Amino acid sequence: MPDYPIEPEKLLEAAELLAPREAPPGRPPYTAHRRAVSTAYYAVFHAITDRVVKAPFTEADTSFLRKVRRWIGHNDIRTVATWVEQLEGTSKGSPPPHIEALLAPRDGESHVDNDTLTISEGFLELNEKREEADYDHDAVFTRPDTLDHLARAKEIISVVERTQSDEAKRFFGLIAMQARIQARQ
Amino acid sequence: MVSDAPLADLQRFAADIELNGLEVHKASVVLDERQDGEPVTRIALLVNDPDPLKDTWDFDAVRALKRELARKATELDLPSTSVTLVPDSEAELVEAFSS
Repeated sequence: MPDYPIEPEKLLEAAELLAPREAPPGRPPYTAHRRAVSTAYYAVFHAITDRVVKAPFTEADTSFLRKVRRWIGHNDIRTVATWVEQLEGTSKGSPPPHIEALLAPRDGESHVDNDTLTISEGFLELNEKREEADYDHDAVFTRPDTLDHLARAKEIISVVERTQSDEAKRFFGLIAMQARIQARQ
Repeated sequence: MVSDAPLADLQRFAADIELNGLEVHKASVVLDERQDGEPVTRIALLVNDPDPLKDTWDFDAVRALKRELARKATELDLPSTSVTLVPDSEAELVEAFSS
């Protein structure tokens, strides 16, 4: 049976086809830019869900991992990424006290490193841009801005796939716990 | 309810930024909401076109600019930011920059 899994790298390639670096002269295809940004966001989303499910299920087979990945929602990642941004002073508000005590204990070191920051900051940015791309009729996606979003997506995916930092692993673990199993009817 | 003062402060702050070849020429800051109703501070920046030999601006400069704006918005008690960069050559796309 043919197997066509969702692969972040393939999604990025599709985004690059929609917004190629070499563009012909004339008015840029702004609708294609919207689709490119949305596709790049999904590349990042699926790269993160892959790491998240592999955190608790270290020995599970591909079929099991693919099913569990579907349980992770955009808001699960958004919530944890926002906690990180709040601790960094780049988003309004504070994480719940028990989360703040975990990630930035008063008597210990912060559990946010550069890799975690790159992932959380970039995810939130692309999540917002994806929503604008898909729903906001007034949003504007210029050519160089679109190419910057694609470069950002590429960087995030690279960090998500290679990072072995303890801080990033905690980040992925918290997303797994945030995406707790929902009841099925 | 957010007053106009912090939005004007953020707009002034944004309009002065210059980072590694990325120069802000004009800024527009408005309060809006996401599809889920969460507030968002939308920032549109009119900036110089990228170097003709490159397709876009310096990657680290863009990231640093967005981080500076997010930090300033937080300091001003504004909701999370969403930044759109508009090169001079595409200024007509944004009403605030078209005149």
